[in-house]
Amino acid sequence: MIKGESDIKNVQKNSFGEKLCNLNYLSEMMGGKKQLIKELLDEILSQVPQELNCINDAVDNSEYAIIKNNAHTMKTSVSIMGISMLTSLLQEMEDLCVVSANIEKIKELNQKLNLICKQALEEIKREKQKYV
Amino acid sequence: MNKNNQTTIFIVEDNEVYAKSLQGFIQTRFTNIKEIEIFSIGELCLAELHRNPDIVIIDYYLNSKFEEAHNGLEIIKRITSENPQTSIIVLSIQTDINVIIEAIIQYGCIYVQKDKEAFNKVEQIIKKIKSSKRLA
Repeated sequence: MIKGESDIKNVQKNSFGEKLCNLNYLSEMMGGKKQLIKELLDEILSQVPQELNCINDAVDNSEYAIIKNNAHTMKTSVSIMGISMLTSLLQEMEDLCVVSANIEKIKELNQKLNLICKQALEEIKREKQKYV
Repeated sequence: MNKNNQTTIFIVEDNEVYAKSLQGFIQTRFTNIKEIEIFSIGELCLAELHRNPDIVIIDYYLNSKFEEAHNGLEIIKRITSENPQTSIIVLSIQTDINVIIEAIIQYGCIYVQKDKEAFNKVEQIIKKIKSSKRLA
């Protein structure tokens, strides 16, 4: 099995295991205010899928500049969600796009990104119930 | 700052989640903020400079939605030229040291790296700015 495939299987296994998101930072910064936190979680649920769609389309079309810009933006979004494992993945995508190189590696990273984000967004949907 | 020491803050950030998080954070930490307005691109902020913001918090990369949008340094140049009394905080993941140096030295901005401590640092900077403007 090549390294990329085992990485993806590890991420899939994780879906039965630990949480990906750490919303303590967000809660602390918002002073625990439920309404504020709920609004931000709604914003995350709206924005992150859009960012992912942009990246997916750009990867399909090998549009390095668009992948780079959206990966850069997404680093900020995932930092708010407390998903530390995505920062280095997105940085790697950005770095590959700067030199417009290795679309296959970018596709592999993007596959992982989609898997992680899918789980993360499901976690956030569940977490949001605490703030309703 | 108006005579009631109320502060107007502009946030120029194309990531809405981050912008609204920062807005929410500032609102919870400060009670006498007159308004905090978010702009997704610098050009929209420039169009509102007549409102004389006390503080502009601006990201460096502002072209994730509109590729043609100016980057943060271009906008900072215009703000410092048109509103020299506005304090500018550059809040960015940007790690290019030359960009950081240019922002700080040439335009007198305060630079804050976008990391876990960023919001707390912004809070401290806003406190200092408000304090210095009260004394002026």
